[in-house]
Amino acid sequence: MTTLSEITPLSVHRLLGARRSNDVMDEAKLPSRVSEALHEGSRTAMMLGPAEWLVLNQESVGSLDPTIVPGQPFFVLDESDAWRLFRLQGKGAGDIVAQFCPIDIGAVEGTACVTHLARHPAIVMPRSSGEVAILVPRSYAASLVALIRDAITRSDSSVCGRYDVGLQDTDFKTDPPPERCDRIQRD
Amino acid sequence: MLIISCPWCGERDESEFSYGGPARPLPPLDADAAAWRRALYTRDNPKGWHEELWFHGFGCRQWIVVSRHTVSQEIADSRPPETPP
Amino acid sequence: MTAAGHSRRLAKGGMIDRSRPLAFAFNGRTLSGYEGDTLASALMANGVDVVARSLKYHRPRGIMTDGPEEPNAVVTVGEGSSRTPNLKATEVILHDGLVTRSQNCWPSVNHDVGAVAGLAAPLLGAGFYYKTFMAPRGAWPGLYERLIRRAAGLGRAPEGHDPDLYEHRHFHCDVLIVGAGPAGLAAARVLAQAGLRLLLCDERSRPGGSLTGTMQRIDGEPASAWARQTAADIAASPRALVLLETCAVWLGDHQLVALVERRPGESGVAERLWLVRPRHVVLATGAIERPLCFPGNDRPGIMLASATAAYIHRYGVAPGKRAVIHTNNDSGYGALQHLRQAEIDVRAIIDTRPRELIDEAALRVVRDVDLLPGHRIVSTAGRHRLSRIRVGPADGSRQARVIDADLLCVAGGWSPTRHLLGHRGGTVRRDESKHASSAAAPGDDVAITGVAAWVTGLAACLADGARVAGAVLKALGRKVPAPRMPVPDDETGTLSGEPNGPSCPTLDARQQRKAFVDLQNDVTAHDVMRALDEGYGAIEHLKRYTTSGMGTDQGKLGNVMAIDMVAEATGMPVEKIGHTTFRPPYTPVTLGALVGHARGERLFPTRETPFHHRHLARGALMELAGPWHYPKCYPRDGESVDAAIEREVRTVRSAVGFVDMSTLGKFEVVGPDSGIFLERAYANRLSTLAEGRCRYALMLREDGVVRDDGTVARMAKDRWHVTASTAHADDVWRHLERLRQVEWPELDVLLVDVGEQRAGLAIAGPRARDVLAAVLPDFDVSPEALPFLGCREIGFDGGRARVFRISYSGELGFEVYVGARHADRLWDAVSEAGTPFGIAPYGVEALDVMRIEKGHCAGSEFDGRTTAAELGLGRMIKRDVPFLGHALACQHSIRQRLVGLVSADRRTPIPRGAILVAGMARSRALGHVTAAVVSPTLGHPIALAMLQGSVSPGDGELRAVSPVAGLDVAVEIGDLPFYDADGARMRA
Repeated sequence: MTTLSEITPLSVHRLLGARRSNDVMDEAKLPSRVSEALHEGSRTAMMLGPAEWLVLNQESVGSLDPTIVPGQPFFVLDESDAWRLFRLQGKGAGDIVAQFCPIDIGAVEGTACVTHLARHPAIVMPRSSGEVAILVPRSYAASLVALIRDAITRSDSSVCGRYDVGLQDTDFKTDPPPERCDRIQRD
Repeated sequence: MLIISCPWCGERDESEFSYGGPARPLPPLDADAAAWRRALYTRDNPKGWHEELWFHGFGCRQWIVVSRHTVSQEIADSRPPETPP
Repeated sequence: MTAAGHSRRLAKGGMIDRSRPLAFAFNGRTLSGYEGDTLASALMANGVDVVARSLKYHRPRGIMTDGPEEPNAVVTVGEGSSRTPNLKATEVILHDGLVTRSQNCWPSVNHDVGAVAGLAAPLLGAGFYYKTFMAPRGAWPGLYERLIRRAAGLGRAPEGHDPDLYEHRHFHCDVLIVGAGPAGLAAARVLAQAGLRLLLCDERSRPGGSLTGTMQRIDGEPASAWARQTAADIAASPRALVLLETCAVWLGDHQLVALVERRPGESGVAERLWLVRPRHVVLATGAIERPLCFPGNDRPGIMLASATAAYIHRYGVAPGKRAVIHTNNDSGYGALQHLRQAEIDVRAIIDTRPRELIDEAALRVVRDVDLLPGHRIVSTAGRHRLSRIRVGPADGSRQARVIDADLLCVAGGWSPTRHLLGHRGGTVRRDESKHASSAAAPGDDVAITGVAAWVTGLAACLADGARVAGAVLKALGRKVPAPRMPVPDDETGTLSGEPNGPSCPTLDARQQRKAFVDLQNDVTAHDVMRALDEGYGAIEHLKRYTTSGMGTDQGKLGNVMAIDMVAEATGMPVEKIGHTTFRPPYTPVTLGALVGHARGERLFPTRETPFHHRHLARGALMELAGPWHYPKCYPRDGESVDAAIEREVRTVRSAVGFVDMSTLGKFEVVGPDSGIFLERAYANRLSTLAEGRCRYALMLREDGVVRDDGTVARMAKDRWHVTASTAHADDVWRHLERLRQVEWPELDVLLVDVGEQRAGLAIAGPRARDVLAAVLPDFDVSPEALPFLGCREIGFDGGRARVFRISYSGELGFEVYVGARHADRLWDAVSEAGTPFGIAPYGVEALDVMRIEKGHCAGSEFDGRTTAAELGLGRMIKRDVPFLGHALACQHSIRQRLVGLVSADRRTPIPRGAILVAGMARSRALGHVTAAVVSPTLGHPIALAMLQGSVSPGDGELRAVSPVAGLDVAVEIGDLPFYDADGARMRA
């Protein structure tokens, strides 16, 4: 059974930095490679691009504009209103994401890939448990949820090596051999 | 559907990108109309390697310069705009 | 030796489940088959000879093959909106309750009135439509078009919505193996044992490929059983996936392979398109047998020799009772053992080659069958079924004789299936050195194995598959195991499929008319010769002139015959003639599979503003403006749409209204060089903009044409807020980032996209200030504190907000932006505060009416062809400081200008998109209408238009004409703006 649920409340901050800020990144516990995600309790920091990070957390802070945080070469922007976070869980989670996303989900576990799901911008975070967290811009969320719900309803989302062995063999000379293989089903 | 190697995000599907034309610098803003016309409308159309700009819109939102072979679609190189090839 | 009820079903044998009978309908008759049958095998078992009528001549046609190369047996499956035309009966898997019909025939397939077309055959040869239907021209709409539409095509398209569901699936793996025949299974076995991520696919519903049609044994068991067990073992490996009834249809750039999986399971998904990115591709796609070209080669009962074997072995059906084999190579003799097994009487073997060229191994199996080497078929006879053939020596030395036969097994040699390789421009024909082909294209990792690589013999194919698997493992840096090879039984009798006789003997003109090259499109040898005569000898020309290879079978059988015929007629070697370009898909693909989930409401991503639920709660009529769900208007108490729009406009102009502005693109531009950056990017003078002030701004393209209009506000010395129109928001972002990253990287500036987290409402109307004051009680909204084009940052609901005093409607107006979480609060506050003044929300239509009344340009004017000067915005362009687009904007001559139009009688609405013409002459188009409405404020229709040049008095009256809508309105040029010319209302 595959389920889609939303994670709230959610706070999101975007950090836009100067070009060279490696030492500051270590201090602020920010990843140094794009798509890398660092998890610490309820806080997740991910690198979206050169000198651009997104930090997710469960408490919300309010501010509307990019402001310079004293002591750090960053602009901090409160984007809590700009995103919605969903969790796709269950056996078919990876297959559903694979319907809409060209990335090899299985190969990027633990990372945060900025990509798209059927042309909905999204940040896809596959976890080793098989569940996939999806961060999507607020205005696209309803459309993407509808798409995923359709896919959940439509599936048979477990992949079958569709393979029927109920058919008799042709052998004019001897009797047909006994069945030796079971119906194949992938889990 | 090409695979384009974004220097920041790694190998990604072409659907994440949008094409931005040949990688040539624009003339200075105060250049005359003839120079601008040449830059915009007189283009090489090589049957071979082509330096071009792509925008990773569904990704890091960076512009990159890509060397693509226009016949075989092979992609040899992709780099941020400032770096020389 | 037939089962009861089925005139041709064998009593035993076939890979069908006789314990599961199925009922189906064909042309209204109820027939029965078994689980495991295809529609073709079930029809054959029931003794159905004529399945379809050919395209042009309506000749009766039967089943010729067992696969996607079938040219004749094309039927319609299903009814109503589930109807699918043009399916090959050989590809339709039989299931209970299937309803099928023949196509292109009336009243029935057995008695078709259209057969008279056969009499007109001399007139309907290749390219006839280039030479007919010329005159009289008046006959076209009434007569010719109707006739041609009725006669053309095969099946009829369904009406209504497709009720089936479709899906896509992206898949990544180490290896993709296309084809589960001997070579494919051998390769997949090795790779699965090595633990690779692999996908094995086969277009048939059971694995084995050619192994399911052979009597050979592997490792002591029947080959088909070996295939089944091997496929099961592969599927059981944890990282392997086996897909049956899945056809690889396209080999694209960077090895993206598209597979179409038919009937993927019980979920209701009819087809699934797999988009596979393998690191290596192995093509084990086998080969397709070729037919032979002789007069009368299209009758029901004439089949490929391998297909007769297939029907006997796979489905337990005897395709006929009295058989003749016609071959030009040794593999045709292999059909003998299958026909003998099914106890079919073999009357003769007709080999086009002289006896010396026939291999000893082939001669050994002939035994007591009448062998006629060096002979060819002169003609065939039989109306709905082959009944006899006339055979004569190729050199004409003796009289032709007649042989009674109802089954003709044709063996013309084998064409390796290499279409996928052709998609990437790789070699399809064999080259001189007879090596297996090189890679498809530089950088591709595609290997070919088995018969597709010209490897013959079962042992050799199994070994070749393992060899290719070893090469793949080596390339991936893995250890190459020494697997135990499966051992086929004695193969000393392997017969080569190398054709060493002609496939198209020389025919005289009369014979040519009856010798078919492309059976589906009724292209005969005569057509090919005529095309050569008329100069269409290049193979691509020949294809298009004769339509050979342009049917749903995509020339799988016919193309080689056409090429051989050209080679024969011109003396050019086959390699020089080449072949037509192989284009995807390999077989027809339904539109549903290509579309997947993206249909109806899921056609493209849609977006909602933060006020979406408030719109719905307020009874808004929503529409899609680009991707955005946006209110069209808010009808009350059953009023019509037009009445609602009119009311909204009146409310704004006389009192106050509010509208959702959240869809605009919104960017922050910050940094020490932000001012310089914007000065270069925009056409307006911006460096003089004071803090706390905003301005309309035009952005030009490099060629001087207007890219977008928006606003620029200066919040602080180095902090700016920029808006872009909804339609161009993404484009403007991309463009500004390009300038920042690529063109002017030396500037110290940062761009921040704040579109998603801000919600905005515009409050407009004479009472707007009163409403704003009530919403923001702690904020001074007087004209002195907030002058026209001023902007301020303030607090609202515990968060930060911004107010801009600008107007799109032409009334006193304010735009308020808050964080999206405060959206509902803002809407409610505005609604409440405005109630004493009769405030109402307004939608996109009212917005459009008001901006047209004010002559404001929008997307319909900024259509990518207009310059600022032409739109009357030339005064915005700065002359002294260079900016992007400056050079060419100055150079543009003014070819058209924006004008306002009113209808001459002040009553008739002006059609949108109408062309402007002068007077009755109407020979000169003078421009077009960009936007038109009936203005409630002015009380008559108005429009904006681009007018080219000028209208002189001698031209006659100006008219707006829309031939599409059948409208023609006299118009006059009016002054812009139509309303509040000095802008006093918005500056109040």
